Formats: sequence, C-alpha cells, structure tokens
Amino acid sequence: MIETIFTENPEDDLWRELLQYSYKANVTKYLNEHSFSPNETLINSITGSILQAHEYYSACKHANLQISPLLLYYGTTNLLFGATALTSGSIPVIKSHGMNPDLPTGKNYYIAETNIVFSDSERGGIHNFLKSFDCNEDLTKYGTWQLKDFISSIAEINNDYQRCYSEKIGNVLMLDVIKSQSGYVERIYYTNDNYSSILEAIRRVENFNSSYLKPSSGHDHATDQDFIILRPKLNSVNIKKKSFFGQPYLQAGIIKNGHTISIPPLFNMYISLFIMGSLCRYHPEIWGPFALTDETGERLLVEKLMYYARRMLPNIILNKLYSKDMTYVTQRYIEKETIKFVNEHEVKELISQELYLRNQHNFIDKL
Amino acid sequence: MSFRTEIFNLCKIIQQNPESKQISNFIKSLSITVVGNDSPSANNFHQIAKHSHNQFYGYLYANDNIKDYLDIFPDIRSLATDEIQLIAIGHSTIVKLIHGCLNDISSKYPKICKAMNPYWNYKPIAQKYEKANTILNDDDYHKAISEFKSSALYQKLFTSTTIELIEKLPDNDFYNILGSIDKEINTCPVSQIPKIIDDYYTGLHSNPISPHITILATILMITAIRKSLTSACSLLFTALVGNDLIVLNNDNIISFDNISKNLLYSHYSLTTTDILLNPATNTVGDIALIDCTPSSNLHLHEFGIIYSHTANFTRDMGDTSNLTLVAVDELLNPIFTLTNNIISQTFPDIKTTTPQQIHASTNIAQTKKPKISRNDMCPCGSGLKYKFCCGKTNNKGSQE
Repeated sequence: MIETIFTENPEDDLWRELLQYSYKANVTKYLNEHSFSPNETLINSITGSILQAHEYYSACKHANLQISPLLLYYGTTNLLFGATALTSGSIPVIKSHGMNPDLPTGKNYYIAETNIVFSDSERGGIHNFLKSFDCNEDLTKYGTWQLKDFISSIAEINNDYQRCYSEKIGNVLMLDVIKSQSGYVERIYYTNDNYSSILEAIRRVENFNSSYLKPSSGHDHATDQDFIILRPKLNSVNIKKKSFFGQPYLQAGIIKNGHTISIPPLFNMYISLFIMGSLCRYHPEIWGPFALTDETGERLLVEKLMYYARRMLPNIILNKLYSKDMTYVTQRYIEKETIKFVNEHEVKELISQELYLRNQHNFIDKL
Repeated sequence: MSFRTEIFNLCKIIQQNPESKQISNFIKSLSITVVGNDSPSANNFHQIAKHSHNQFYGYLYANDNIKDYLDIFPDIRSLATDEIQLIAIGHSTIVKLIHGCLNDISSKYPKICKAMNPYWNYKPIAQKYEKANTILNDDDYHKAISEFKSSALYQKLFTSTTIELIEKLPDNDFYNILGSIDKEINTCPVSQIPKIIDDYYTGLHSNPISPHITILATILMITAIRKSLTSACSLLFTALVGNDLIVLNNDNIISFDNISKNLLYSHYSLTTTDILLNPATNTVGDIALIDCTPSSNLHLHEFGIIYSHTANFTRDMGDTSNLTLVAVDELLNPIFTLTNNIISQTFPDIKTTTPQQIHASTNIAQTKKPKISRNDMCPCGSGLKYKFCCGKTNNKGSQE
C-alpha cells in the first residue's frame, strides 16, 4: 500500500527524512533494530555518505547542465553507498564504478547512442548496489549496451523518448486501468504503426505469461482508439510498476545475447546518469556543445530526465530504508468520504441479496 | 474407486479407440456443411438434435422424422446409411451403460427403472439403434456398473421400505410427482431453493415423519440417480465426439462472480474467456472442471454441470463468457447435498400405509398435469417449440 505524505515542499521533506541518517544516534538505532553491530567506522561511513549526497543534490539543483549530471551521479552514488551500508550492516567493498563508457565512432550521433560496458561483478559499484536492491543480475555477461537501452526503460520520459528518437515505442508499456461493473481490465492503446512493436514488447515483459491471460483487442468508441486488453490471471503476482505519477506500467526487458534482462527503474536512471556524467567529466568536447547548442531536442529530454532523477531517486532509496512505499505530494489532505449514494436498481439488488441470505440461514438452521 | 472415477476411465478408453475418431470427425463435419445458403443445412440438425447429454439420440430421432420438419427447416438433409450407423454406435455406447446400471431392477421395478433412465421423457426411437454395436466391450462397463450399484444412494433406495409402494403408485400420480419435481428443480434458479425441497425440509421436523415426506424422499432419490446417470452420459458423449473436457483454471477464468452453497447445489458463477465463445456451440449441460486458485488460501477442484452460458461480445471490455455451474460429487450427482441428507435420515416403515393414504399424500404435490403453452419448449426434449413438435399431434402428447 502506498503511504502518501502531504507536504508543501516534497523535495525538502524527503531529504529531511534521509538526513535523519546523518545523525549517529539514528544510524545506531537503525543498525540495532536490524540486528547489526554498529561500529564507529561504519557509522561515520553512513553519515558521511548521506551528508555528501545531500550536498551534491543541492548543488545539482542549481547547476548548469554542463555539470549537473555529474553532480547528480556522485550524489546518487553516495546515497546508494550509505543505503547499502545501512541495510547490510557493513561497508561495501567497491573498487570501481563497475561500468565504462565507450563512445561510438563517427560524428553527429545522439548522446543516447553512447555505449557502456559493465565490468567487475564482484567489486564494481553498480553490481554491489544492484545486489542490495535484490537484483542479482550480472551485467558483465551481455556485452555492450547503449544509453538508449536505459532511457527507453524510464516511464516518466517515455513519450519524450519516442518523439525525440522517432521510435514507435520504448521499453515501457503504459497501462490504462478500467474498473466497471463488467469487470477489471488494463488497456494499452495502440495505432496501426506500433501494434506489432507493442506485441513484441509484451513478450519481453518478465513473468507476463504467468500473470496475465492472452491479450485480446478492443476499441474505445468514445475516443475511436484501438487498444490491447490485458486481464490479470486469478491470484497472479502483480508485475506492474508504478510511475512517478502513479500510472501503472509494464516494463519490457532488454534482449542481450539471447537473454531478456529487466533492470530496476532506479538503476535505469543511475546508469544513465553515469554515462552522462562520464561525458561531462571526460568528454567536454562532446558534452559542452551538446549542453550549449543542441539542435536535435535531445537536450530537453536530458533535462527532463535530470529533473525526475533528482526527484525520484532519493524517494526510492528512502522507501528501501523504511521498507515502505511512500510518496511525497503537494496535494492537500482530503477526507475519505464513505457515504455512497445508490440508485433504485442498486437498492433492489441489495434487498434481494439480504432476503436470500436470510432465507438460506433459515434452511440451514432447520437441519 | 468411485462411479465418477470409472466413468472417466471409460472416457479415456473411448478417446483411445479409433472408431470414436470416425464418429467425432463425422459429427464435426456435420456442423460445417454448407449448401449455398445462409444457414448451413447441418445446423438445422443441430437445432433438432440439441440435447445436453446425448445428441446422438437427437440426430437419430430427427433423421427418422425428417418429413415432419421440412416445412420448418427446408434445407435439412437425411443422413446416409453409413452416417446413421456411426451415430447409432455412439448412441448405443451410451445407452448400454444405462441398461447395465438398471438391469437388476428393470424386471422387479419397471416403473422406477424407467424413471431413472435419463431418456425417460423422450419419445422412442427405432429399436435397431439401441442394439447397434458399441465402442466399449462388456468388461469395460463392468467396473462402472459395479460402482454405481454399490453406491450409498442406490443401496438406500433399494433397501427402503417405500420402493414397493412407489412402484405400485398409479402411473399418473407417479409421473406427475416426478414431472413436478423435475420442473421445479430445473426451472428454479440455482441460487434459490425449489418450493418442493422447502416443503420436504419442513416435513423432516415433524414427528413422526409423514408418509408424504417419506415418499417424496424416495422420489427425490430416484431423481438424483437419474441426474447421476445423466452426468455420466454427458461425459461419455463428450469423449465420443472428440471434445475435450472443459477445464476452467487460472489461465482462463477472469473472475468469480459468486460462490455459494445451498441445500441443493454448490454453485459457481464465473467469468471466463477464450474457450467458450463459439456461438455455434452450446455448453449448457456439459461437465466442466474448475481447477483454480482464486485466492492465496483457496484452491478449487470441482466438477460442475454448466447451468447457463452467456457470451458477451464487447469491444470495450473484451469478449467473455459468463457461466453458472453446479458442482457434481463423486457420483456425478448435482444434487448431492440433498441426497446426502436423505441418505442419513431414518424414515419410518410405511408398508402398512393404505392406498388411500398414499393417494392423499401424493395429492399434496401437483396432481394436475402442468399446462404446456404452445410456445413453451416441448417437454420431450426435441429443442423445438411445443406447437412444432408434440403439440402438432397432440393426441400423443408427452409423458410429463
């Protein structure tokens, strides 16, 4: 269940919660509650990481696109380092980022076509952090990836991704949930152009066949749109993810070396930040002109990604620490109204049901 | 082992027999013959032959009486000799089970034996069809018949003090009560209790239990045994025509609309997709298996008879079927909740009850022949309206 925190300034309040763990007493309490043995080095490591993360995030908020991805990447790395130490009760042993960027050859390519190769599944930072978030995938086995693979898997910039790169779909299938008296269904809207791409993406969703019935098609007469109908199986595992705005979606895996790999949303953003940060740091000849004079519109997508990463990554990490699903919103609290106005038909149905149940009880009592 | 288990064994034997493949291929081809008009002629056969548990009977009856239906279904065709033979084999395979189950009582209690036959209300067809070869041999039937005869319900009925009285009841009284019970149970919604059952339960609390209640209990047992044989025939028919048992599980059930239990039925109402949407098929009367896990702490494994089937073709929510099923127990008996109650009761000995008392008690049930409207479905089970069937030659009438 999602716990909603009502606040005038969600970002500040979120960090106020995280900064609790920049205090030794709170860190000690957390470690004791989770049956870990606190020691001075561990506590200092955690508190220092959280404090530094906050500084990087604060700086990033006001920094230019020239350096903001780098700042955000470092801030998130600190945050992940501190969270991993807190949840595992020990300082992670990390020797490198665990990933290396690799520029494509030739000129005039999109930033999203920057390549990345993963290394050191034991001591690389990315793999350590993946494991702390219950993902044991060894990304070193799959060869070269592109930034595009990760950007296309981020729900919040899905539409921007498709527009910017003229792609039919990304690796995200946004769902429209319909609940009516006829039942509960989830819809994916499609056009003639992207229908087959959507079906192909559905096949790449992990555990789709065990969670959903075979998709069928339908038509919305009100909007004259076609859609794919998805029905969850009885008692199935919920494989839907929730976007920042609360809309559910299915994440299609990425096929590498014949394997379908699904990476958690947090790390799609984190790896994207690493690639962009690396370009900032080591290839200013590419990043500088991109940040100043991009003509393709890709810069807008990157800025949007930066905004959501800054807003979402601390929230996801805080949820991990609290083992809860919390969201910070600016909406004012609204009382829950349980009074329901029913129509005549519903009243008659209720009366019939009650009479039947009373009748049945009478028979059973007689036995 | 149980009667149900043995029936499923028979179904497996049938499915492995090459002769049943011939029958199923023919039946399936009959449904798609097109003679260049809007309604394929074979569909007319379907309409006439539509019985929930033995369409072979329907095909044979329709073939023998084609001239009576030509004005209603002008494109109907007569079956060729080899086609008739195939259908007769299928029919005979089913009826041989019934005859085997009822042979012990047919000479001693012919009226009761007839009332326990699933086709008791049907118009007769040519005897040669009933004597055709069968796919199964005598040994195959033996275990199923033994289980049937050793069942608690069968034993209770034939060791009761009332069976001889029932056999001696005037025909009109007996068939009226039987018809009344059938009509009440068949027309009452599965979520409700028929009035006749209500009266029966009320009567159980009187002390002593009246002859009327005792007789009613006996006739209910006869009805239950017939329903048990009907379910068995439905399964054998499914196997003979090559249809698979309808399986409803997590892969095709969308939701349970209602799970409830009353004194007659355990009742399931659910929404499903995929397998039941062919408008040319009618699944009412078919036996289905519900094998699913609706929630983490409930697993269902129930055999049920499909009581109603509504197909919803909607582009908004997708195509679905709404099904209502009643559970059948080990004996394939859909009213086992009631019969288990009867089996556990000790009824008084009413051998010394006078014929006047019997007559008076049976008058409490409906003694008048229920009036059949011209537009009602014909009670002989042909699937036609009464005015096109037995109502045409109303001197014959039905046996209800």
